[in-house]
Amino acid sequence: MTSTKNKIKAQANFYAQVREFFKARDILEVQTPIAYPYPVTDPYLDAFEINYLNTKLYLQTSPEYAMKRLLAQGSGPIYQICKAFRDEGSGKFHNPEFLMLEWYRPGFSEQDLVAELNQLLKFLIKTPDLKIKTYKTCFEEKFKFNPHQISLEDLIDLNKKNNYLNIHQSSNLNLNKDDYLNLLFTHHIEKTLGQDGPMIINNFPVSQAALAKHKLVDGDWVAGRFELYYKGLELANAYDEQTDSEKLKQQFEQDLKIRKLLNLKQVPIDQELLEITDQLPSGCGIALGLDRLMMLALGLNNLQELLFFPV
Amino acid sequence: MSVVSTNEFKGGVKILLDNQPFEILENEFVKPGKGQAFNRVKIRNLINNRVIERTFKSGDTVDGADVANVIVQYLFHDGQFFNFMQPESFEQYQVSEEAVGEAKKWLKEQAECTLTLWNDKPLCVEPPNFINLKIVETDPGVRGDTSGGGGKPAKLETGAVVRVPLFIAEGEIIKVDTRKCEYLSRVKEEK
Repeated sequence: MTSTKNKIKAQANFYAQVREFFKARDILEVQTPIAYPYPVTDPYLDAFEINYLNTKLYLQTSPEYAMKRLLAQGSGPIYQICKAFRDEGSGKFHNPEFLMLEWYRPGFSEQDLVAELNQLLKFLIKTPDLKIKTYKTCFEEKFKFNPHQISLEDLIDLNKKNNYLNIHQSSNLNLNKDDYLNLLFTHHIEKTLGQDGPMIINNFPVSQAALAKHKLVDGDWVAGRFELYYKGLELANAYDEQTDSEKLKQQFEQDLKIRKLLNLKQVPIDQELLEITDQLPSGCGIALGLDRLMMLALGLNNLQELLFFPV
Repeated sequence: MSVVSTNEFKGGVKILLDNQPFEILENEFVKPGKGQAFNRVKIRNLINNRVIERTFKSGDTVDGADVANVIVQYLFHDGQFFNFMQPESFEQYQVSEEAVGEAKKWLKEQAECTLTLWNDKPLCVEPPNFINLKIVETDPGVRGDTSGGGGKPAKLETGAVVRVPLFIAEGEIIKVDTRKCEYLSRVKEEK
């Protein structure tokens, strides 16, 4: 049970250390609008809408689009500590309003960013060196199949035979391959990750990494996407950023199609972002859940305990 | 029948699945980085008491189960049913041996129990957490005999058997914890 004063001190110290880390590396802090004219098109992210004068604005689910526009204008490496909002339930590890640390490194490869993330974690919470495991290895170790190659039918059969998932059958279930992989990952793999120290899972399926560059690894096309896990909790999501505006446009349009199919809200596409995407420098970006990290660092096991005034 | 959405899932909520009543014990919101959200719940079947796991697509709805708890007093067994009465309303319930279940061995006249009703029909009975009962059968404990370590078995007036310290004698009244089936203490006065 942490007192309010202790919480304030611990968190203030955290913020100061994060700033010190980035200052030492000449990465500049930015603040971009929390209320932004465009939400992300991702069909599985729900943004809160607000009415501002006569316009509809969206509370950001992450500062990604705004920061990329700055990168395209030659900002160089930048970071932001800001609130993000998602219209989802609250729970042990979720809150509709949460704190994000997001930074972008033009010119960095995934390996470079992993190394920098490692330094940040050691600096903030003195963890051992990051370990790395591929998405494919996670499934091969646990279930003995290659997630990039297995078909939806085989996944369904596998679950029927072994009862890995007890899915409630409802009329509009319609689970696709990624839904099954996500369920298997969250139910049977996730909690085991990073128990001894922070762990990176990389080389996600292309279908699960909308805005990442693709690469061929061991005969499988995979995405330049990695996630950070610690004590079984997902802490960060990073990309080797897509800089081809045509590919980005296709992704946006596909998202809108899925939204339509699932009877979800249609949302406007960020035209300004599309227009400058070809000027985006190659590089990597990462979004880290700062309150989840603080929660673990303070030895709390429920996000609601970290917040000052949980709703 | 009310409809419950996954957004309302939390401990204590009663839902109907496969036509059986379940109580939600734990609800975990599962949101993969890019993908559909799910609710992973631990639920207890209120008929057979088994706990299972089920995963729901977030936003799904299920039927709520009409399950309610009433505090009742045990009256008597009429040869077929266990009879209980709600003290304020004097409403009586006849409960089958199956529904009474394990609680059967703790039922003493006037014992205050919790009766769970499903669609107004008795589903199961929970005895009081603590109850004072008379020992009807136990061996006299031999003084100085510490070899037993765990005391000796004693049969109580309601049929339950608990382990008691060696110095406890037949005919004595003891207080027991019904959940752990454990002796707690002697009771001086007849209750």
